[in-house]
Amino acid sequence: MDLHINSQVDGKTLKLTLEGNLNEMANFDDLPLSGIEDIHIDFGGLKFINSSGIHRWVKWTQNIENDHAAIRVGFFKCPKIIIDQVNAVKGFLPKSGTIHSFMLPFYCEESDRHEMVLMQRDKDFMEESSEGQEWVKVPNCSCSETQTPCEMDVMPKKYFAFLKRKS
Amino acid sequence: MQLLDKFKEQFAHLLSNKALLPLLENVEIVDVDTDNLNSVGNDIDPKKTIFVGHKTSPKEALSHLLKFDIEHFVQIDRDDFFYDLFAACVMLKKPASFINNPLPFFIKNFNPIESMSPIRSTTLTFSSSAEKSPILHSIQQFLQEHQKTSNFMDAIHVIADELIMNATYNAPVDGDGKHIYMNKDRSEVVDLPEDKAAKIFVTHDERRLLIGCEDPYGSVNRFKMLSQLAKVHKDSQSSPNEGTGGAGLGSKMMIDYSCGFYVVVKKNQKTLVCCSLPLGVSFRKAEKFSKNLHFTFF
Repeated sequence: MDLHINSQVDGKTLKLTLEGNLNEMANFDDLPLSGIEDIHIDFGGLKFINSSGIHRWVKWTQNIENDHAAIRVGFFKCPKIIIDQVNAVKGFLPKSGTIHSFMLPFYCEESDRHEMVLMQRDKDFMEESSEGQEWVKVPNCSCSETQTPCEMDVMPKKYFAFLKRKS
Repeated sequence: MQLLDKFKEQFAHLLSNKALLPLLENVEIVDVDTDNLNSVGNDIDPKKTIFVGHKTSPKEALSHLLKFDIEHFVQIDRDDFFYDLFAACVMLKKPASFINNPLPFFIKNFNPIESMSPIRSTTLTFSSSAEKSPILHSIQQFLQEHQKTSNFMDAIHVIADELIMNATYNAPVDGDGKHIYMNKDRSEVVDLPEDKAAKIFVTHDERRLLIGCEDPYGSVNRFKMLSQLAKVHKDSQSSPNEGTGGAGLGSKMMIDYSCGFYVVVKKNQKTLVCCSLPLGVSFRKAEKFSKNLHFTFF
């Protein structure tokens, strides 16, 4: 399934919901940016990603930075594959971008299953800023199958690297 | 130091098999952490040498491979160190055997005589970029049928996607060796000639998964590939280069999401690109695996 972009303009905010695969078929060129002050992007329905999709995405975020520098971009419900790219690819999160929520994977060794917990800015984490250091409150998580405690399944230094980005 | 001097004990059980001895003889091991690379540098024969290291980053490993023209970097700290060291020996001494059937070299106990005893395997042939979606869907279904593989669905999907894109857009060359689809926009459908179909396979047992893709071109340029990989690994964050595809980012993603990366190229005849992943472990443990890298050209 290629990328389906559901877009809705609400006042001066462009709300985007991405579903499917961010790949070579992704097209962001037709999105209306004129008069927009904020873009809210919901990644909750995103399934997969490839390098051509990343290439197209970064081209679009560069376009925002170059031609619409005042627009603030918010990322919501970022799955692990998006956080991986935010950390690994320059420009994936534009300079004016903020991550408002992301999925944190937990692992149950007993059932060999993963649970995903939605982490929310202000409540569960905060990026580094001039006002203070970054912080993350890792919640407790139980396996939905065995009810036993799960362990956080990321390398904190690597996964939370995006919180260090801004000053 | 010679492999059989350094690891004689570990390979002792293989030495009783006379057919295997030539694979292990006269292979030099250079430990990048303990050997003085400045003094051994001039004496290195790339076709007889394997570099090893302890938790060496891909960036450092690629830099060593490029500088000394070496094909294999194997990580000592890994549980499967001797499996992969043996695979590297086979790629050095019998690359044709490896490229024709890599599966026996990914087995437990690194005994190439036994089969891998895969619990499951799937192979799909394709001759058009338009077949990518249905193939990825088939692979997804295959992975969903087993808990251990479904855990790594995202990573395997990324790798499968990149492998198919490489085989359809980057591999095809004309009679003069000119890449015919390299500069095509990746949203444009391209077809491979009927006799030039590529194939992708996924095989796994309980502990390890191997995904690979084979194309009949053998058109990968070693220096270009390694240089591009070194470039995208240079900084903590990659910059997607100008170009129509991922331009190096795709191969980096394959390395990032796997624990072993294998490129075997028989010039103008065949390219095999494989990635291995551990199964039955957490993402965290999988990410901690240092990467084995292999680039064999013959």
